[in-house]
Amino acid sequence: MDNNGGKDESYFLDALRKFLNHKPAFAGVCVLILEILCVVLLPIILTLDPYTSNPAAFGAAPAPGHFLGTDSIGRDIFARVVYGGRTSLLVGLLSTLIAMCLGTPLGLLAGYYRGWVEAGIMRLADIFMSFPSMVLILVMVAVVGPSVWSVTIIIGVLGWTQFARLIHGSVLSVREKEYVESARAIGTPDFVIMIKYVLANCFAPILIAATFMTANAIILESSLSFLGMGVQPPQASWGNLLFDAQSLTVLSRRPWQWVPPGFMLVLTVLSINFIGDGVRSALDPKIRL
Amino acid sequence: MSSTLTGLKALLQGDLGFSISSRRPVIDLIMARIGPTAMLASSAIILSILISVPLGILAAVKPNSARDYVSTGISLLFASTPNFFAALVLIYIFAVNLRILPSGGMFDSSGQRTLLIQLRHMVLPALVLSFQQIGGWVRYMRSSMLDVMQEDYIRTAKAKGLKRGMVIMKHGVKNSLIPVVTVIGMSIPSLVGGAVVTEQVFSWPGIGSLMVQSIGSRDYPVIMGITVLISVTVLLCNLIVDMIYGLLDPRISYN
Repeated sequence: MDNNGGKDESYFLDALRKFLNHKPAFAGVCVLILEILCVVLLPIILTLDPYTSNPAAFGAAPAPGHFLGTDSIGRDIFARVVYGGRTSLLVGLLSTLIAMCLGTPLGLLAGYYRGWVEAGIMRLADIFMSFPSMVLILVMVAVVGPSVWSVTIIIGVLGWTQFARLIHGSVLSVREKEYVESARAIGTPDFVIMIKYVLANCFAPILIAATFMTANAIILESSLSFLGMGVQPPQASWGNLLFDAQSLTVLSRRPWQWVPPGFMLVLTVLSINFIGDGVRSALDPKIRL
Repeated sequence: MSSTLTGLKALLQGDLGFSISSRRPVIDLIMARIGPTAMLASSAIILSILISVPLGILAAVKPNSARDYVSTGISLLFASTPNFFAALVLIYIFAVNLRILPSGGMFDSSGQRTLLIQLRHMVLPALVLSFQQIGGWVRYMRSSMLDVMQEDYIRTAKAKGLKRGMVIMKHGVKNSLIPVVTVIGMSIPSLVGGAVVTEQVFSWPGIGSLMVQSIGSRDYPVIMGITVLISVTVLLCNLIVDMIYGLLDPRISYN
Protein backbone atom coordinates (compact mmCIF):
# COMPACT_ATOMS: atom_id res chain seq x y z
CA MET A 1 0.00 0.00 0.00
CA ASP A 2 3.06 2.27 0.21
CA ASN A 3 3.99 2.63 -3.45
CA ASN A 4 0.60 3.31 -4.92
CA GLY A 5 -0.73 5.45 -2.09
CA GLY A 6 -2.41 7.95 -4.38
CA LYS A 7 -4.53 5.43 -6.21
CA ASP A 8 -5.46 3.54 -3.06
CA GLU A 9 -6.53 6.67 -1.31
CA SER A 10 -8.79 7.67 -4.12
CA TYR A 11 -10.38 4.22 -4.08
CA PHE A 12 -11.02 4.40 -0.34
CA LEU A 13 -12.16 8.01 -0.46
CA ASP A 14 -14.44 7.10 -3.32
CA ALA A 15 -15.82 4.14 -1.38
CA LEU A 16 -16.24 6.29 1.72
CA ARG A 17 -18.13 8.92 -0.25
CA LYS A 18 -20.37 6.25 -1.77
CA PHE A 19 -20.95 4.79 1.67
CA LEU A 20 -21.89 8.12 3.23
CA ASN A 21 -24.22 8.87 0.32
CA HIS A 22 -26.10 5.65 1.04
CA LYS A 23 -28.68 7.26 3.32
CA PRO A 24 -29.84 4.18 5.25
CA ALA A 25 -26.22 3.23 5.93
CA PHE A 26 -25.43 6.73 7.15
CA ALA A 27 -28.47 6.64 9.44
CA GLY A 28 -27.34 3.21 10.66
CA VAL A 29 -23.90 4.53 11.55
CA CYS A 30 -25.44 7.47 13.44
CA VAL A 31 -27.81 5.22 15.40
CA LEU A 32 -25.04 2.80 16.27
CA ILE A 33 -22.62 5.52 17.42
CA LEU A 34 -25.38 7.11 19.50
CA GLU A 35 -26.20 3.73 21.04
CA ILE A 36 -22.59 2.99 21.93
CA LEU A 37 -22.22 6.46 23.48
CA CYS A 38 -25.41 5.97 25.52
CA VAL A 39 -24.44 2.52 26.67
CA VAL A 40 -20.96 3.63 27.71
CA LEU A 41 -21.69 7.07 29.13
CA LEU A 42 -25.22 6.98 30.55
CA PRO A 43 -24.39 4.70 33.50
CA ILE A 44 -21.59 7.10 34.46
CA ILE A 45 -23.60 10.31 34.04
CA LEU A 46 -26.92 9.17 35.51
CA THR A 47 -25.60 6.64 38.06
CA LEU A 48 -28.05 3.99 36.90
CA ASP A 49 -28.60 0.95 39.07
CA PRO A 50 -29.90 -2.14 37.24
CA TYR A 51 -29.63 -4.55 40.17
CA THR A 52 -31.26 -3.00 43.25
CA SER A 53 -34.97 -3.55 43.52
CA ASN A 54 -37.30 -0.85 44.66
CA PRO A 55 -39.69 -2.45 47.18
CA ALA A 56 -42.18 0.36 46.61
CA ALA A 57 -42.59 -0.44 42.92
CA PHE A 58 -43.00 -4.07 41.79
CA GLY A 59 -43.95 -4.22 38.14
CA ALA A 60 -44.80 -0.52 38.14
CA ALA A 61 -45.84 1.33 35.01
CA PRO A 62 -43.61 4.09 33.62
CA ALA A 63 -43.60 7.06 36.02
CA PRO A 64 -41.23 9.97 36.77
CA GLY A 65 -39.08 7.90 39.17
CA HIS A 66 -38.74 4.97 36.79
CA PHE A 67 -39.08 6.42 33.37
CA LEU A 68 -39.62 3.01 31.70
CA GLY A 69 -41.26 1.36 34.72
CA THR A 70 -39.94 -1.53 36.78
CA ASP A 71 -39.86 -5.33 36.40
CA SER A 72 -41.53 -7.97 38.59
CA ILE A 73 -38.99 -7.49 41.37
CA GLY A 74 -38.84 -3.73 41.17
CA ARG A 75 -35.67 -3.17 39.14
CA ASP A 76 -35.55 -0.10 36.91
CA ILE A 77 -36.21 -1.11 33.29
CA PHE A 78 -34.38 1.86 31.79
CA ALA A 79 -31.21 1.02 33.71
CA ARG A 80 -31.54 -2.63 32.70
CA VAL A 81 -32.01 -1.75 29.02
CA VAL A 82 -28.88 0.42 29.09
CA TYR A 83 -26.82 -2.26 30.85
CA GLY A 84 -28.37 -4.91 28.60
CA GLY A 85 -27.15 -2.90 25.64
CA ARG A 86 -23.64 -3.05 27.04
CA THR A 87 -23.82 -6.83 27.20
CA SER A 88 -25.51 -7.38 23.85
CA LEU A 89 -23.27 -5.02 21.88
CA LEU A 90 -20.19 -6.42 23.61
CA VAL A 91 -21.12 -10.02 22.80
CA GLY A 92 -21.93 -9.07 19.20
CA LEU A 93 -18.66 -7.22 18.58
CA LEU A 94 -16.38 -9.57 20.51
CA SER A 95 -17.71 -12.74 18.92
CA THR A 96 -17.33 -11.14 15.49
CA LEU A 97 -13.73 -10.31 16.35
CA ILE A 98 -13.11 -13.92 17.38
CA ALA A 99 -14.72 -15.24 14.19
CA MET A 100 -12.71 -12.79 12.09
CA CYS A 101 -9.41 -13.78 13.72
CA LEU A 102 -10.14 -17.47 13.08
CA GLY A 103 -11.84 -17.32 9.71
CA THR A 104 -9.66 -14.79 7.89
CA PRO A 105 -6.34 -16.68 8.12
CA LEU A 106 -8.05 -19.98 7.31
CA GLY A 107 -9.82 -18.55 4.26
CA LEU A 108 -6.57 -16.90 3.19
CA LEU A 109 -4.57 -20.13 3.50
CA ALA A 110 -7.24 -22.14 1.69
CA GLY A 111 -7.49 -19.70 -1.19
CA TYR A 112 -3.76 -19.09 -1.51
CA TYR A 113 -2.36 -22.61 -1.31
CA ARG A 114 -5.23 -24.48 -2.98
CA GLY A 115 -4.72 -28.24 -3.10
CA TRP A 116 -5.14 -30.29 0.03
CA VAL A 117 -4.99 -27.25 2.32
CA GLU A 118 -8.00 -25.83 0.56
CA ALA A 119 -9.79 -29.17 0.48
CA GLY A 120 -9.20 -29.69 4.20
CA ILE A 121 -10.25 -26.22 5.36
CA MET A 122 -13.23 -25.78 3.07
CA ARG A 123 -14.63 -29.28 3.70
CA LEU A 124 -14.32 -28.56 7.43
CA ALA A 125 -16.31 -25.37 6.83
CA ASP A 126 -18.95 -27.39 4.98
CA ILE A 127 -19.22 -29.77 7.92
CA PHE A 128 -19.65 -26.87 10.35
CA MET A 129 -22.27 -25.31 8.12
CA SER A 130 -24.35 -28.45 7.81
CA PHE A 131 -25.33 -28.08 11.46
CA PRO A 132 -27.89 -25.38 12.15
CA SER A 133 -25.85 -22.84 14.12
CA MET A 134 -28.59 -22.24 16.68
CA VAL A 135 -28.82 -25.96 17.49
CA LEU A 136 -25.06 -26.44 17.67
CA ILE A 137 -24.65 -23.38 19.91
CA LEU A 138 -27.47 -24.57 22.20
CA VAL A 139 -25.82 -27.97 22.57
CA MET A 140 -22.40 -26.49 23.26
CA VAL A 141 -23.79 -24.00 25.77
CA ALA A 142 -25.59 -26.87 27.49
CA VAL A 143 -22.29 -28.71 27.84
CA VAL A 144 -20.08 -25.75 28.83
CA GLY A 145 -22.65 -23.89 30.91
CA PRO A 146 -24.24 -20.57 30.02
CA SER A 147 -22.46 -17.28 30.74
CA VAL A 148 -21.54 -14.13 28.83
CA TRP A 149 -18.10 -15.47 28.06
CA SER A 150 -19.10 -18.96 27.01
CA VAL A 151 -21.79 -17.54 24.71
CA THR A 152 -19.37 -15.02 23.17
CA ILE A 153 -16.67 -17.61 22.57
CA ILE A 154 -19.02 -20.26 21.20
CA ILE A 155 -20.78 -17.86 18.81
CA GLY A 156 -17.39 -16.50 17.74
CA VAL A 157 -15.71 -19.85 17.21
CA LEU A 158 -18.64 -21.25 15.24
CA GLY A 159 -18.79 -18.08 13.13
CA TRP A 160 -15.43 -18.68 11.42
CA THR A 161 -17.05 -20.34 8.39
CA GLN A 162 -18.69 -17.13 7.17
CA PHE A 163 -15.36 -15.30 7.09
CA ALA A 164 -13.45 -18.24 5.68
CA ARG A 165 -15.89 -18.76 2.82
CA LEU A 166 -16.15 -15.14 1.73
CA ILE A 167 -12.40 -14.54 1.99
CA HIS A 168 -11.56 -17.81 0.28
CA GLY A 169 -13.71 -16.80 -2.67
CA SER A 170 -12.11 -13.42 -3.00
CA VAL A 171 -8.55 -14.73 -2.53
CA LEU A 172 -9.14 -17.10 -5.45
CA SER A 173 -9.52 -14.16 -7.79
CA VAL A 174 -6.89 -11.91 -6.17
CA ARG A 175 -4.17 -14.57 -6.29
CA GLU A 176 -4.32 -14.66 -10.09
CA LYS A 177 -3.68 -10.91 -10.39
CA GLU A 178 -0.49 -9.68 -12.08
CA TYR A 179 0.84 -7.91 -9.00
CA VAL A 180 0.74 -11.15 -7.05
CA GLU A 181 2.50 -12.96 -9.85
CA SER A 182 5.21 -10.29 -10.08
CA ALA A 183 5.70 -10.36 -6.32
CA ARG A 184 6.11 -14.12 -6.58
CA ALA A 185 8.51 -13.73 -9.50
CA ILE A 186 10.90 -11.50 -7.53
CA GLY A 187 10.97 -14.11 -4.78
CA THR A 188 8.78 -12.48 -2.12
CA PRO A 189 8.09 -15.00 0.66
CA ASP A 190 4.58 -16.48 0.63
CA PHE A 191 3.46 -15.00 3.92
CA VAL A 192 4.51 -11.52 2.85
CA ILE A 193 2.54 -11.86 -0.39
CA MET A 194 -0.44 -13.17 1.53
CA ILE A 195 -0.51 -10.31 4.00
CA LYS A 196 0.78 -7.42 1.95
CA TYR A 197 -0.91 -8.06 -1.38
CA VAL A 198 -3.66 -10.62 -1.01
CA LEU A 199 -5.12 -9.77 2.38
CA ALA A 200 -4.94 -6.03 1.74
CA ASN A 201 -7.13 -6.54 -1.31
CA CYS A 202 -9.65 -8.68 0.56
CA PHE A 203 -10.70 -5.74 2.68
CA ALA A 204 -14.19 -5.63 1.17
CA PRO A 205 -15.33 -9.20 1.92
CA ILE A 206 -13.89 -9.00 5.45
CA LEU A 207 -15.89 -5.87 6.20
CA ILE A 208 -19.03 -7.30 4.62
CA ALA A 209 -18.71 -10.55 6.56
CA ALA A 210 -18.10 -8.57 9.76
CA THR A 211 -21.32 -6.57 9.51
CA PHE A 212 -23.31 -9.66 8.63
CA MET A 213 -21.76 -11.61 11.50
CA THR A 214 -22.32 -8.85 14.09
CA ALA A 215 -26.01 -8.64 13.26
CA ASN A 216 -26.27 -12.41 13.41
CA ALA A 217 -24.34 -12.69 16.68
CA ILE A 218 -26.59 -10.15 18.40
CA ILE A 219 -29.66 -12.10 17.30
CA LEU A 220 -28.12 -15.42 18.42
CA GLU A 221 -27.10 -14.07 21.82
CA SER A 222 -30.51 -12.57 22.44
CA SER A 223 -32.27 -15.76 21.37
CA LEU A 224 -30.11 -17.84 23.70
CA SER A 225 -30.64 -15.44 26.59
CA PHE A 226 -34.37 -15.41 25.85
CA LEU A 227 -34.42 -19.19 26.20
CA GLY A 228 -32.47 -18.86 29.46
CA MET A 229 -29.36 -20.46 27.94
CA GLY A 230 -27.36 -17.27 27.43
CA VAL A 231 -26.50 -14.36 29.68
CA GLN A 232 -27.73 -15.26 33.15
CA PRO A 233 -29.67 -12.90 35.43
CA PRO A 234 -29.11 -10.69 37.36
CA GLN A 235 -26.80 -9.53 34.58
CA ALA A 236 -28.96 -7.89 31.93
CA SER A 237 -28.92 -8.46 28.17
CA TRP A 238 -31.59 -7.42 25.67
CA GLY A 239 -32.50 -11.06 25.23
CA ASN A 240 -32.94 -12.00 28.85
CA LEU A 241 -34.97 -8.85 29.56
CA LEU A 242 -37.57 -10.44 27.30
CA PHE A 243 -37.42 -13.73 29.21
CA ASP A 244 -40.20 -12.65 31.61
CA ALA A 245 -42.49 -11.89 28.68
CA GLN A 246 -42.83 -15.66 28.14
CA SER A 247 -45.52 -15.48 30.81
CA LEU A 248 -48.81 -14.21 29.44
CA THR A 249 -49.41 -11.88 32.39
CA VAL A 250 -46.20 -9.96 31.82
CA LEU A 251 -46.80 -9.99 28.07
CA SER A 252 -50.31 -8.58 28.31
CA ARG A 253 -50.17 -6.38 31.42
CA ARG A 254 -46.66 -4.93 31.36
CA PRO A 255 -45.64 -4.09 27.81
CA TRP A 256 -43.11 -1.55 29.13
CA GLN A 257 -41.09 -4.46 30.38
CA TRP A 258 -40.53 -6.19 27.03
CA VAL A 259 -41.16 -3.62 24.29
CA PRO A 260 -38.11 -1.35 24.96
CA PRO A 261 -35.43 -4.09 24.90
CA GLY A 262 -37.08 -5.72 21.88
CA PHE A 263 -37.26 -2.39 20.08
CA MET A 264 -33.58 -1.72 20.81
CA LEU A 265 -32.69 -5.15 19.44
CA VAL A 266 -34.54 -4.59 16.17
CA LEU A 267 -33.16 -1.04 15.86
CA THR A 268 -29.59 -2.20 16.41
CA VAL A 269 -29.71 -5.18 14.08
CA LEU A 270 -31.50 -3.12 11.43
CA SER A 271 -28.83 -0.39 11.66
CA ILE A 272 -26.07 -2.95 11.29
CA ASN A 273 -27.81 -4.51 8.29
CA PHE A 274 -28.18 -1.08 6.70
CA ILE A 275 -24.48 -0.46 7.29
CA GLY A 276 -23.72 -3.82 5.71
CA ASP A 277 -25.81 -2.84 2.70
CA GLY A 278 -23.93 0.43 2.38
CA VAL A 279 -20.56 -1.27 2.72
CA ARG A 280 -21.51 -3.81 0.10
CA SER A 281 -22.63 -1.28 -2.46
CA ALA A 282 -19.62 0.97 -1.76
CA LEU A 283 -16.92 -1.70 -1.84
CA ASP A 284 -18.17 -4.50 -4.02
CA PRO A 285 -17.33 -3.55 -7.59
CA LYS A 286 -19.78 -6.11 -8.95
CA ILE A 287 -22.72 -4.25 -7.46
CA ARG A 288 -21.27 -0.83 -8.22
CA LEU A 289 -23.28 0.59 -11.08
CA MET B 1 -13.31 -45.92 22.18
CA SER B 2 -15.16 -49.20 22.13
CA SER B 3 -18.20 -47.53 23.71
CA THR B 4 -18.14 -44.95 20.91
CA LEU B 5 -18.12 -47.77 18.35
CA THR B 6 -20.99 -49.58 20.06
CA GLY B 7 -22.84 -46.27 20.16
CA LEU B 8 -22.26 -45.70 16.45
CA LYS B 9 -23.37 -49.23 15.63
CA ALA B 10 -26.52 -48.79 17.69
CA LEU B 11 -27.12 -45.43 15.99
CA LEU B 12 -27.06 -47.07 12.57
CA GLN B 13 -29.67 -49.53 13.79
CA GLY B 14 -31.90 -46.66 14.89
CA ASP B 15 -31.17 -47.12 18.59
CA LEU B 16 -30.55 -43.73 20.18
CA GLY B 17 -30.57 -44.95 23.77
CA PHE B 18 -32.90 -43.97 26.61
CA SER B 19 -33.91 -40.60 27.97
CA ILE B 20 -32.49 -39.91 31.43
CA SER B 21 -35.51 -38.04 32.69
CA SER B 22 -38.42 -40.05 31.28
CA ARG B 23 -36.69 -43.47 30.86
CA ARG B 24 -38.34 -43.86 27.47
CA PRO B 25 -36.43 -44.68 24.30
CA VAL B 26 -35.12 -41.49 22.67
CA ILE B 27 -36.36 -42.60 19.26
CA ASP B 28 -39.96 -42.80 20.56
CA LEU B 29 -39.75 -39.32 22.09
CA ILE B 30 -38.44 -37.89 18.84
CA MET B 31 -40.94 -39.73 16.64
CA ALA B 32 -43.82 -38.30 18.66
CA ARG B 33 -42.56 -34.79 17.98
CA ILE B 34 -41.59 -35.04 14.31
CA GLY B 35 -45.09 -34.58 12.90
CA PRO B 36 -45.83 -31.16 14.42
CA THR B 37 -42.39 -29.81 13.51
CA ALA B 38 -42.61 -31.07 9.92
CA MET B 39 -46.05 -29.50 9.60
CA LEU B 40 -44.89 -26.18 11.05
CA ALA B 41 -41.69 -26.02 9.01
CA SER B 42 -43.34 -26.93 5.71
CA SER B 43 -46.11 -24.38 6.15
CA ALA B 44 -43.51 -21.78 7.04
CA ILE B 45 -41.61 -22.56 3.84
CA ILE B 46 -44.77 -22.34 1.73
CA LEU B 47 -45.75 -19.08 3.43
CA SER B 48 -42.31 -17.55 2.90
CA ILE B 49 -42.36 -18.45 -0.79
CA LEU B 50 -45.85 -17.00 -1.19
CA ILE B 51 -44.79 -13.73 0.43
CA SER B 52 -41.21 -13.29 -0.72
CA VAL B 53 -41.43 -14.23 -4.41
CA PRO B 54 -44.08 -11.59 -5.29
CA LEU B 55 -42.26 -8.98 -3.16
CA GLY B 56 -39.00 -9.75 -4.95
CA ILE B 57 -40.63 -9.54 -8.39
CA LEU B 58 -42.32 -6.28 -7.44
CA ALA B 59 -38.98 -4.82 -6.41
CA ALA B 60 -37.09 -6.05 -9.47
CA VAL B 61 -39.57 -5.04 -12.14
CA LYS B 62 -38.95 -1.39 -11.36
CA PRO B 63 -35.55 -1.12 -9.64
CA ASN B 64 -34.83 1.96 -7.51
CA SER B 65 -38.49 2.94 -7.47
CA ALA B 66 -40.50 3.64 -4.32
CA ARG B 67 -41.90 0.12 -4.63
CA ASP B 68 -38.40 -1.29 -4.67
CA TYR B 69 -37.37 0.64 -1.55
CA VAL B 70 -40.50 -0.36 0.35
CA SER B 71 -40.11 -4.05 -0.45
CA THR B 72 -36.36 -4.04 0.32
CA GLY B 73 -37.07 -2.10 3.51
CA ILE B 74 -39.71 -4.60 4.64
CA SER B 75 -37.43 -7.51 3.90
CA LEU B 76 -34.58 -5.95 5.88
CA LEU B 77 -36.89 -5.22 8.79
CA PHE B 78 -38.03 -8.86 8.81
CA ALA B 79 -34.46 -10.10 8.63
CA SER B 80 -33.51 -7.86 11.56
CA THR B 81 -36.31 -8.91 13.90
CA PRO B 82 -35.37 -11.80 16.18
CA ASN B 83 -37.88 -14.62 16.02
CA PHE B 84 -38.92 -14.45 19.62
CA PHE B 85 -39.62 -10.73 19.53
CA ALA B 86 -41.76 -11.11 16.41
CA ALA B 87 -43.57 -13.93 18.22
CA LEU B 88 -44.22 -11.80 21.30
CA VAL B 89 -45.50 -8.87 19.22
CA LEU B 90 -47.83 -11.13 17.21
CA ILE B 91 -49.14 -12.83 20.36
CA TYR B 92 -49.68 -9.42 21.93
CA ILE B 93 -51.64 -8.16 18.94
CA PHE B 94 -53.59 -11.20 17.78
CA ALA B 95 -54.00 -13.28 20.93
CA VAL B 96 -54.06 -10.76 23.78
CA ASN B 97 -55.67 -7.68 22.23
CA LEU B 98 -57.72 -8.85 19.25
CA ARG B 99 -58.37 -12.31 20.71
CA ILE B 100 -58.75 -13.88 17.27
CA LEU B 101 -55.93 -16.42 17.42
CA PRO B 102 -54.65 -18.69 20.19
CA SER B 103 -51.40 -17.75 21.92
CA GLY B 104 -49.86 -21.19 22.02
CA GLY B 105 -50.21 -24.96 22.05
CA MET B 106 -51.47 -27.14 19.23
CA PHE B 107 -55.05 -27.82 20.36
CA ASP B 108 -57.42 -25.92 22.63
CA SER B 109 -58.97 -27.07 25.88
CA SER B 110 -62.18 -28.30 24.21
CA GLY B 111 -60.58 -31.71 23.76
CA GLN B 112 -61.44 -31.86 20.07
CA ARG B 113 -58.50 -32.63 17.82
CA THR B 114 -59.56 -31.48 14.40
CA LEU B 115 -57.28 -30.26 11.66
CA LEU B 116 -59.04 -26.90 11.65
CA ILE B 117 -58.19 -26.24 15.29
CA GLN B 118 -54.63 -27.28 14.66
CA LEU B 119 -54.33 -24.97 11.66
CA ARG B 120 -55.69 -22.06 13.69
CA HIS B 121 -52.99 -22.70 16.28
CA MET B 122 -50.37 -22.87 13.58
CA VAL B 123 -51.03 -19.47 11.96
CA LEU B 124 -48.88 -17.39 14.31
CA PRO B 125 -45.90 -19.77 14.69
CA ALA B 126 -45.74 -20.40 10.94
CA LEU B 127 -45.88 -16.67 10.28
CA VAL B 128 -43.07 -15.98 12.76
CA LEU B 129 -40.95 -18.76 11.33
CA SER B 130 -41.42 -17.46 7.80
CA PHE B 131 -40.51 -13.84 8.67
CA GLN B 132 -36.88 -14.67 9.15
CA GLN B 133 -36.64 -16.41 5.75
CA ILE B 134 -38.57 -13.69 3.91
CA GLY B 135 -35.83 -11.15 4.61
CA GLY B 136 -33.19 -13.07 2.70
CA TRP B 137 -35.42 -14.55 0.03
CA VAL B 138 -36.91 -11.25 -1.13
CA ARG B 139 -33.46 -9.82 -1.71
CA TYR B 140 -32.30 -12.94 -3.47
CA MET B 141 -35.39 -13.10 -5.67
CA ARG B 142 -34.89 -9.43 -6.50
CA SER B 143 -31.26 -9.76 -7.58
CA SER B 144 -31.89 -12.99 -9.46
CA MET B 145 -34.79 -11.37 -11.29
CA LEU B 146 -32.65 -8.29 -12.07
CA ASP B 147 -29.99 -10.58 -13.57
CA VAL B 148 -32.48 -12.50 -15.67
CA MET B 149 -34.12 -9.34 -17.00
CA GLN B 150 -30.76 -8.40 -18.54
CA GLU B 151 -30.55 -11.65 -20.51
CA ASP B 152 -30.73 -11.84 -24.27
CA TYR B 153 -33.82 -14.05 -24.32
CA ILE B 154 -35.75 -11.36 -22.45
CA ARG B 155 -34.76 -8.85 -25.12
CA THR B 156 -35.86 -11.36 -27.78
CA ALA B 157 -39.19 -11.85 -26.05
CA LYS B 158 -39.71 -8.10 -25.86
CA ALA B 159 -38.61 -7.66 -29.48
CA LYS B 160 -41.09 -10.19 -30.80
CA GLY B 161 -43.82 -8.02 -29.29
CA LEU B 162 -44.78 -10.10 -26.28
CA LYS B 163 -46.81 -8.21 -23.67
CA ARG B 164 -44.82 -6.89 -20.71
CA GLY B 165 -46.68 -9.00 -18.16
CA MET B 166 -46.09 -12.09 -20.28
CA VAL B 167 -42.35 -11.35 -20.56
CA ILE B 168 -42.08 -10.90 -16.80
CA MET B 169 -44.12 -13.91 -15.80
CA LYS B 170 -43.22 -16.48 -18.42
CA HIS B 171 -39.61 -15.66 -19.18
CA GLY B 172 -38.46 -13.58 -16.23
CA VAL B 173 -39.98 -15.18 -13.14
CA LYS B 174 -39.66 -18.75 -14.34
CA ASN B 175 -35.93 -18.43 -14.90
CA SER B 176 -35.16 -16.33 -11.86
CA LEU B 177 -36.82 -18.92 -9.61
CA ILE B 178 -34.08 -21.46 -10.39
CA PRO B 179 -31.30 -19.99 -8.20
CA VAL B 180 -33.87 -19.25 -5.49
CA VAL B 181 -34.32 -23.01 -5.07
CA THR B 182 -30.75 -23.20 -3.78
CA VAL B 183 -31.38 -20.40 -1.32
CA ILE B 184 -34.44 -22.19 -0.03
CA GLY B 185 -32.29 -25.26 0.51
CA MET B 186 -29.60 -23.24 2.23
CA SER B 187 -32.13 -21.68 4.60
CA ILE B 188 -33.15 -25.03 6.05
CA PRO B 189 -30.54 -24.97 8.84
CA SER B 190 -31.64 -21.51 9.91
CA LEU B 191 -35.27 -22.61 9.66
CA VAL B 192 -34.54 -25.46 12.05
CA GLY B 193 -32.74 -23.10 14.42
CA GLY B 194 -35.66 -20.69 14.27
CA ALA B 195 -38.06 -23.53 14.96
CA VAL B 196 -36.33 -24.19 18.29
CA VAL B 197 -37.10 -20.68 19.53
CA THR B 198 -40.51 -20.38 17.87
CA GLU B 199 -41.79 -23.71 19.19
CA GLN B 200 -40.66 -22.76 22.67
CA VAL B 201 -42.52 -19.42 22.62
CA PHE B 202 -45.72 -20.93 21.24
CA SER B 203 -45.39 -24.16 23.27
CA TRP B 204 -45.72 -26.05 20.00
CA PRO B 205 -45.07 -29.73 20.82
CA GLY B 206 -42.29 -30.30 18.26
CA ILE B 207 -38.62 -31.21 18.12
CA GLY B 208 -37.51 -27.68 19.01
CA SER B 209 -39.35 -27.49 22.30
CA LEU B 210 -38.22 -31.05 23.12
CA MET B 211 -34.67 -29.83 22.54
CA VAL B 212 -35.07 -26.87 24.91
CA GLN B 213 -36.69 -29.10 27.56
CA SER B 214 -33.92 -31.67 27.29
CA ILE B 215 -31.24 -29.03 27.60
CA GLY B 216 -33.04 -27.67 30.66
CA SER B 217 -33.06 -31.12 32.28
CA ARG B 218 -29.57 -32.04 30.97
CA ASP B 219 -31.02 -35.05 29.21
CA TYR B 220 -27.96 -35.70 27.06
CA PRO B 221 -29.15 -38.80 25.15
CA VAL B 222 -32.17 -36.85 23.88
CA ILE B 223 -30.03 -33.81 23.00
CA MET B 224 -27.63 -36.05 21.08
CA GLY B 225 -30.46 -37.85 19.31
CA ILE B 226 -32.08 -34.61 18.18
CA THR B 227 -28.77 -33.17 16.99
CA VAL B 228 -28.07 -36.29 14.91
CA LEU B 229 -31.57 -36.24 13.47
CA ILE B 230 -31.40 -32.54 12.59
CA SER B 231 -28.01 -32.85 10.89
CA VAL B 232 -29.15 -35.84 8.85
CA THR B 233 -32.30 -33.96 7.83
CA VAL B 234 -30.30 -30.92 6.79
CA LEU B 235 -27.90 -33.03 4.72
CA LEU B 236 -30.82 -34.86 3.07
CA CYS B 237 -32.51 -31.56 2.25
CA ASN B 238 -29.30 -30.27 0.68
CA LEU B 239 -29.08 -33.40 -1.45
CA ILE B 240 -32.70 -33.06 -2.56
CA VAL B 241 -32.17 -29.39 -3.40
CA ASP B 242 -29.12 -30.26 -5.49
CA MET B 243 -31.14 -32.85 -7.37
CA ILE B 244 -34.05 -30.48 -7.98
CA TYR B 245 -31.58 -27.88 -9.20
CA GLY B 246 -30.24 -30.32 -11.76
CA LEU B 247 -33.76 -31.06 -12.95
CA LEU B 248 -34.72 -27.38 -13.25
CA ASP B 249 -31.56 -26.31 -15.01
CA PRO B 250 -30.39 -29.05 -17.39
CA ARG B 251 -27.20 -27.09 -18.11
CA ILE B 252 -25.94 -28.33 -14.76
CA SER B 253 -25.04 -31.98 -14.95
CA TYR B 254 -23.42 -34.33 -12.51
CA ASN B 255 -20.72 -35.99 -14.56
